[in-house]
Amino acid sequence: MIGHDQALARPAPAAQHGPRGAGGRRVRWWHPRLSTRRALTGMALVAPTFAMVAVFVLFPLGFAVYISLTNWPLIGPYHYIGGQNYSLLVHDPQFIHSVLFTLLYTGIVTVPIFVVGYAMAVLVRSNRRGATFFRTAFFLPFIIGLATESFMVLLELQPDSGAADYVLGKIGLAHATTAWTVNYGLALTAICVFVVWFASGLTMMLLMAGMQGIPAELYEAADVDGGTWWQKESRITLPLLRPNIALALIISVIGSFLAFNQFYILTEGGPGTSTEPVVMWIYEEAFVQYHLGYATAGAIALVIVIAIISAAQFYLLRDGSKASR
Amino acid sequence: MKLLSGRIFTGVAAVLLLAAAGCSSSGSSSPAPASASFGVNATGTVQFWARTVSKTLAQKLVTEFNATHPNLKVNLRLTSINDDVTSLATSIRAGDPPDVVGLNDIDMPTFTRNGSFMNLTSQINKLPYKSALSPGHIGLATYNGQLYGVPYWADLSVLWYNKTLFKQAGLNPDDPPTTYAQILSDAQAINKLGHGINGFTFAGDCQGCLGFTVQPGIWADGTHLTNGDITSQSANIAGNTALESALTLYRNIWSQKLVPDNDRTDDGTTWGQDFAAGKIGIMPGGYGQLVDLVKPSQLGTEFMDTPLPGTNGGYSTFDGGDDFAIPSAAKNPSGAWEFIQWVMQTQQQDQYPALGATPVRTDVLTPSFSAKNPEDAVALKALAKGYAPVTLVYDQMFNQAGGPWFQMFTTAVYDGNMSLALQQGQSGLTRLLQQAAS
Amino acid sequence: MTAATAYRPARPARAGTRSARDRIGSGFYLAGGTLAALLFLLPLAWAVIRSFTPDSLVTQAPSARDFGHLTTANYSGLIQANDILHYVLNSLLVACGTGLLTAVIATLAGYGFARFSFRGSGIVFALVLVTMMIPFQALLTPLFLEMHSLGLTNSLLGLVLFYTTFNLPFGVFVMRNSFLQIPWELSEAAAVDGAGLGRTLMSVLRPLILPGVATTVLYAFLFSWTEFVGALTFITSNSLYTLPLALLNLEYGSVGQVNFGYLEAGAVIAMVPCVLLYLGLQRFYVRGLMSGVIKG
Repeated sequence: MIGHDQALARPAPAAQHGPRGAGGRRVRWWHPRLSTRRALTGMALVAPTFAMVAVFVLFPLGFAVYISLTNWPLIGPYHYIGGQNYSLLVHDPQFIHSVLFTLLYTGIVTVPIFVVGYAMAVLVRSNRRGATFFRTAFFLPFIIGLATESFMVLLELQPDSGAADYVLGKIGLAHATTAWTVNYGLALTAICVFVVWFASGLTMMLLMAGMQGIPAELYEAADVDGGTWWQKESRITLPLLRPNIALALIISVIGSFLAFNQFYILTEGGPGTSTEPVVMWIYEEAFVQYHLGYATAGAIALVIVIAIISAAQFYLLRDGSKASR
Repeated sequence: MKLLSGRIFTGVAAVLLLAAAGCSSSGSSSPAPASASFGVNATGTVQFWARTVSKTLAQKLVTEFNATHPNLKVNLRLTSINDDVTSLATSIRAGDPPDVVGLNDIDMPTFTRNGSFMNLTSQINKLPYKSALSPGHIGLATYNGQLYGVPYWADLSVLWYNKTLFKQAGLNPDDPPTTYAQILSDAQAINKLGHGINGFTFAGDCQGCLGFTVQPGIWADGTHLTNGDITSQSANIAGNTALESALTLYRNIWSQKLVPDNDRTDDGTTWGQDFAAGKIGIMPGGYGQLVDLVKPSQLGTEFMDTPLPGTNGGYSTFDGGDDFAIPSAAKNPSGAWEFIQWVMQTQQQDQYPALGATPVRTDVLTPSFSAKNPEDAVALKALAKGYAPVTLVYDQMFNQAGGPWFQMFTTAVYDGNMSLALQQGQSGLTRLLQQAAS
Repeated sequence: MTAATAYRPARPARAGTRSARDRIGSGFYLAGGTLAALLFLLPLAWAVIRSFTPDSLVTQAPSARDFGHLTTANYSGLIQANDILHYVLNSLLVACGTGLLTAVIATLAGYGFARFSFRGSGIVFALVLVTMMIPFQALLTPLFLEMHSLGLTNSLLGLVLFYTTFNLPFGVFVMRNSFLQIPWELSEAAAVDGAGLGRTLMSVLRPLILPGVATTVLYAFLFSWTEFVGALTFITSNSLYTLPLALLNLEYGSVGQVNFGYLEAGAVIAMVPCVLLYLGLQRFYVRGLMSGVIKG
């Protein structure tokens, strides 16, 4: 346990400089009195966060788990029904379809968001002329927010009056009357392009902050040794950027799993329910069908799935403790 | 860590108990307000939740009421679109509902059958104009023969048409269509004008809008899409010739390209704007919808309405709008009832047309009313023949993109496969009704 | 190699002598970057133009004629007739409050997770992260009932607490990364000098963690500024509505029509504080890292 915490607390070895503290220094940390005080300090630092999470997340989550074990309707009396909701869930074709669709959507957008974000971060991490302007331009879509932009995009995807058909029609890539939002393939394409445009800015900011933390002389040393751009990137930047990459990817994947606004506004899950992601399924069950208990069961299932996938991502992207010291 | 989490969990358990107490089920029926002083000279404040779509009306009414009632104040809260039912239901669960709510009338059945609202039957029976109240609204507020609400305002569907375009196409602007055949031929004539003009328009991706405007024709033909009352309903889609006739009309309109192309993807967000811009000959829509979109001077001169007809005549309308209801746990039900009664007085009802609403009493349709508000008079006349489906599955059936109504419409109108459409509609609605009954 | 020269913002290796190759490289950089930036900005620039178009024209096919009809009617409608600035203020209060509260609490927690070992820290960290994975919609009813009994519904404070909690995972994650990137020597050096916890954080480590703090504040602000579902659920009186709520109510007509003119104008109005905040926090990124903080 102690050793594990140490690993958590230790920064990536390559980022350190100067002589490592010798054994003598380390021993001092293990002085019992000091270690208890440190432990208490640590707990005190973390306490406010934990308190807020406990009150506003964990408790309602527990309550929600309880709701998922009942047939709680939006209004009216309810009864405990055990795991019935969950067994119904597994056989519900609509729920399964929404899960598969969400997985498909996540699979499509995750890599482009990361690659575009990374490329933009490379572009703007230096302090050259224009970098500030580029940074702002790339981040602006994220700043404005997905919901508002979904409405803007809705307007532009209209046949005849929208800019999408107008521009693409002039270039010759599409009919002037293509109806994007009522066709599964077209709607999915448009939404994926839209989301990459929206989300890559955040990836850029997250990666850029990490990139700027990498000391310059690492690159200079590589220059002296005659390294190519790609070699520098893959041997210096990427390994040191691991925590930031992890954060960016995890947030991106979770965001895709929880996607709702863009689908609700642009296609309402249509045509039919072909573009309905899981959270929209939950919304429909809870607030349209009034089956709050059943919907909550679906939500709990979703949380578990996301937790597993995020844990896997964490594991795969953890700071390697193999020393390069 | 242990100390901290211990304290937290104690607090958490306390809240849990509190919440559980607050949200335990209460299936008992609500007490009927029987006293003579109910709704007379009430004092205090009244929490009134109205839907944002009735904003202009609600704000005007509340301001006037507060100005004329020194001892009773109404506090208005406008609930956001799509959130009305949820916020009301959650507030009832939390034990803190408003005193009076203006609820979308088709959502009334969800609440009337579990004691959420006060039983107002005895109070309503005392109203002198009881028989003039909108039958559709009253029907939706009824459960087991008891009344749990009264009409608040009416949002009715009518057939709007562009008199200027009628004249240009050589049609008589004072002789609007009264049958499906006439709608089709008039639309064809106007469509020939070209130059970006179309004969007809509808929100082709907006299932709720279509439910609002297509169903009245079916009702005018004397039939509905469901049989039976809320406790045991069945689908009446297969073999429904009126429905087939209505869908055929829209199929013809679509396949003959009498509508703009982007009608196909209009999910309601731009509904009516092309008509308001003077580019469309005929548009089934709401009365209030157009009042929002055009200048008052254009009503009656450029744009006029007529009741939505059936296949060969007759007419009906969708009795949309809101009902007033008083939640059982309301803190000031007497004040709420005083406010409600005041709103239903003729003096207030007369103000409705200018605010984009239609009155809820047919006895308000006097010659002077018709003279002052000819367009709303058309709607009000249709109110008496209006209807609104009383069913638990209205939202699931009509307002969902994946619901049977829209699927049926799409298959019939865009794919042109009428028999498959009716089949899908019948099985879809049957399934929904079975689920709701279980 | 001393710590003083350890961190320098990445710059072209040779300063002072810019060869022709450098200048061409610069040129390509500017050209390519500008193209990409314009591509990103184009939809937004178009939306700004739309915001000056009357609503009746916005849903017609775009054409050059539109430019002749530009008007500020959407803006005057929002500001004068609909008192939009009142809701902007509400949103500002909530967003600033959330940003600050999140930054403070997340920084403390990030420091705690990164630098201190204590029993259960892994579990607590995992629980904090679970927050990120939960779809809002599932918690709305339980949360409403709970907050109602705590008296936190229909209050901007309640909203701030709610938003802060949901931004803590991101903030803690970012701050923890920030602290992890700082070498041991710095905090040890401070401890040797006798600095307490407060001083260590505020004076010694502050410049190093500012980029992380800036990211946290910005993200929390943007989240609260654009958040809608929570505000919709927990705020029950119109005067406390935040901007997204107010805009939504203004935009929707009686049969579900959307006033796109208002929407675009509302988006532009909403954009302004965010861009200002972002530009203001820029320098914490650009400044890169400290040099010369550690002497000797």
